[in-house]
Amino acid sequence: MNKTYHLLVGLHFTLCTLAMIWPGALIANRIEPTVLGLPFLFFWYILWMLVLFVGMWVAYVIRHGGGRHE
Amino acid sequence: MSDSLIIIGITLTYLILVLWVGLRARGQQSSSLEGYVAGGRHVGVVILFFILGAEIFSAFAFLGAPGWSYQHGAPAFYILAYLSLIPITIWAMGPRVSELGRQKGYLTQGDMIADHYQSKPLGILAGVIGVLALVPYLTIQIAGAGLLFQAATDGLIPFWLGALLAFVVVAAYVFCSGLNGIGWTNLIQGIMMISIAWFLGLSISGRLYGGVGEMFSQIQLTMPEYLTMPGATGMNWGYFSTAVLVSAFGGAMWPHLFMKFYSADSGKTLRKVSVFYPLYAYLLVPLLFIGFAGVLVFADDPLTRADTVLLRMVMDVANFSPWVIGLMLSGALAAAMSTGANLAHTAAIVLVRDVVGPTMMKGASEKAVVSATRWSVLGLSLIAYLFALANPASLVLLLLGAYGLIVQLFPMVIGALFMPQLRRASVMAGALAGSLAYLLLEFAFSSPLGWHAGIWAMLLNIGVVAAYQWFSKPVLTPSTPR
Repeated sequence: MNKTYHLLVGLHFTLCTLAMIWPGALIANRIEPTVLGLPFLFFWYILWMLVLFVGMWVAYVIRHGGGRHE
Repeated sequence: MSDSLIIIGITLTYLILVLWVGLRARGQQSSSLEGYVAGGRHVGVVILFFILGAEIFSAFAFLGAPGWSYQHGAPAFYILAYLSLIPITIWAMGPRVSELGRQKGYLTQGDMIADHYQSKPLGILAGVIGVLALVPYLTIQIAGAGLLFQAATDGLIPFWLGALLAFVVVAAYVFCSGLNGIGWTNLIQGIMMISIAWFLGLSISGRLYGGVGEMFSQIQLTMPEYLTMPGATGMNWGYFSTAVLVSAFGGAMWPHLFMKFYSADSGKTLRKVSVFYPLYAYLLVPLLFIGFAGVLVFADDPLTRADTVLLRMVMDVANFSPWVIGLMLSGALAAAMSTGANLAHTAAIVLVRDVVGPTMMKGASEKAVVSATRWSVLGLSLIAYLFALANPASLVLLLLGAYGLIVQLFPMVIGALFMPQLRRASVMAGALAGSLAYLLLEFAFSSPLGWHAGIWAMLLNIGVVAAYQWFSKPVLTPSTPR
């Protein structure tokens, strides 16, 4: 459990990092389609910021508990 | 003239408010060193979030981010990328740093390094690199404040006076209240700059183009090169990617970020702060809009300094009332001052505890150390102010330069936290080789493949550490204090 947890968190971090630099961002390097009025590359960064946040949040809840309500 | 007076009035009111909050936060803790430096190690999630966020969200973010999107276009996403990746290092190393600090009473990077490697010189070296990196960064904030004041008041308050005003306020509350002052003022400054940034970003694109979507479609029609890599200035992926990596993972090496790990009330708090940290990067999004808005506006008559684009847009193009300009000035000053407060505080602590403490102030009482730290806050702010008057270099280049140097502490810190088998001689050789290589690549030769010089220096650093570990077997059993 512990090993799997660290592996998954590490993978998530690596994936998010690579998505934002070469080579991950290469596949998003275009203007169309625009999303929410933003050129696709701009949206791509907005998206991965969210993915990073959600992944870390899940990892936090698994490890440190979700507070009194969970 | 009366417009300028309204602007100055709003801004001075804001400065007084910040000063009042900062001085009130003094409390009872700031008389002890641990209280002055680390808030007694009792800082909770909300305040820590604003402390960590506001110090990254600096004058560079407020002026430089729109400057980049105006000048380069898409390469400005570098800022979004590195800001949102910084929490990875907070997540990975923060809890361990906080735990060690609590157990052994560490307050700086130098403390930890000197104790772990049983070497005072190594702690002093870390301290010297820290101060060398922090002072230029503080200079950027001061220069930013001066530039803002001068531009927003049409020169009624000149550069030197504007810079002085903002930093007298900061130096005053840092001097008196230490980290508590920084925490409470950053809460206000954070909220201030977030709301101003979003307001300006949306209303400028709305006023000029009728919305964000319309703005980007117009840019796409006439100047599509701004919207994808390599941008308008042809920045290659190699430089872009390595600059992101250096800034994101070197970011946690910055003493002012690293030392906040000690102030957390628990490792769990740090994890929670890092979870929400990527959201801080969203605050920059509207500032990038402003830069993009400037691409078409200034197409025929480009600005000589890209980092003035926010000011020009707000003051000359969008025709806001002086009230809005006053708020804009306050928000931008908030960005410069909140970061500057952290930097002055950290630089003073590093100077006194890591550099002066083990040399000139051996065996000094805690009271003397706190007092020396306070006076160093004033001294270093003054030095940075004088630098700001002398050197108006581009904000972003200075920032990238300073970041590169501090990253060279990375292997040393990793060794102290997670790899006790790394020996003193190897990490010391690595850091020296890395720093030297960085300075040469940055200022004497051009960096191979056009990558960020910090990456090459880091690779050399790690290479030297590994080679040293491999070839010089320990003569004695290495002392690895647990």
